[in-house]
Amino acid sequence: MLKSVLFFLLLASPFSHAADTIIAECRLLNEMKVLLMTFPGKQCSFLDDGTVISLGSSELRRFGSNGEVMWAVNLISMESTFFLSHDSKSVLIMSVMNGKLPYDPRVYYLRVYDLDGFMVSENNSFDLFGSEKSVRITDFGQTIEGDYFINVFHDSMYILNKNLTKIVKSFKFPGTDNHLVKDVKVTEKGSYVYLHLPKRKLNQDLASVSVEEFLPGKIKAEKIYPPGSGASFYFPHGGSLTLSKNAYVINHPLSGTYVVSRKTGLVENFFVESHVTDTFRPPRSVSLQNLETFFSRWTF
Amino acid sequence: MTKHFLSLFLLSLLSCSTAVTPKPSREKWKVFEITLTEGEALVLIHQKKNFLTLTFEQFFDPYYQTFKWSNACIEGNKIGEVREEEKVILWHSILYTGPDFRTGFCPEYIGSVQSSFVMLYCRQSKKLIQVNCSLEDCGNISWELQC
Repeated sequence: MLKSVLFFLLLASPFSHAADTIIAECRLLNEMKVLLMTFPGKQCSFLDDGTVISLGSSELRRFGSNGEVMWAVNLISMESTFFLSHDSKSVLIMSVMNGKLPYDPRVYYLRVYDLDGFMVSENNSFDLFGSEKSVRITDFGQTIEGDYFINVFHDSMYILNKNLTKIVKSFKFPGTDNHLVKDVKVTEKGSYVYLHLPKRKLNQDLASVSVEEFLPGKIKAEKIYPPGSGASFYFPHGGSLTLSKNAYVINHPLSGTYVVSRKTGLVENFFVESHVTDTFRPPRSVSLQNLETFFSRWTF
Repeated sequence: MTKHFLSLFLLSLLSCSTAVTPKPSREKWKVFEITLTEGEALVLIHQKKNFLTLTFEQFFDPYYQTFKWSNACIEGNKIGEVREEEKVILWHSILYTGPDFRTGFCPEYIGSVQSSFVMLYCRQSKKLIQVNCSLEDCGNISWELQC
């Protein structure tokens, strides 16, 4: 009987999506920047089977296509973020716990869950680097070969084995000595795309930022935005970068969202999502995804 | 084709239904009706309630040093309790909705309206009726609904 309800609700669905949908944290907007739906949580990933991975204040949940909670993982109120693996079959969660005293090193917990909510592997920064070394991990992701990587601020990229127990190798992106690198993404061909923020000078209010791509084995990284050899563009504090099939999406709460074509390296769209739908709080990150398959299965 | 089917379905619902009075103009409200067992209806109602409760879960964002939702949004989205009575199960909420009565909206969003969102299960007829209507058009319709 429930199936007939779902079938009816599916028929009644007001959505039809051919173009990429804008994902602003857990809000979905169409190409006209009109709010379509809001999902629970502060970070969401939408899967082709019509389910949603959602990070709330203290829990990571998976919602089924009928809006039901399939499973939930308690994150004990730690500040967390998650990333999906390339094949969208695992969820990589990074949580940080501050020390008891202000100068105590933070400890980062790295965990990998399968889509049924079972933990596959885990480790933490104390076990990887020792409790004396203060590290700030900004990114936790998966390489094209299936290993994991972490990016440590002002330090290096570290490749970890599949159990997360061992650092297999480390490297720096070319030209980033003592610079900040964040939002490291892996492309389909195995290259790394990231935001490169050169160190700010004392009298400089704005950080100059560039989006760069590095293919392992090459000597140099390639600047992909802004194009050519001109100056970098400026952001007060760096913004965030996401990678979609056809575009790089660079977002900053104050500056707005730039959609840069992966083909041409040029800005093909710019918008300030917060001015369109929500004057209260701009999104932390914005991405683009074709959600046609998701919407065809989401029946809630 | 789908829209046509939907229009016909709604038209037949509205012409046969004895559930709602008074009847506002059709464009301003939305009705779903389905036959379910009591257990299935309860699952559906609680699923909807839980999803909305989690959607408007308030928390502090250390990145922005603000709360996730504005006070106006939290106060404007009043998620009611499920009431189980002798003849009916009733869940009534007042929510900000967008076009087509989609939920998850706030007063800050352009074009959002405050709406009544009612799910009524009639134990005798085994029908679950969902009615969405803007407060401006219908007022508090939960008291007008009967099996």
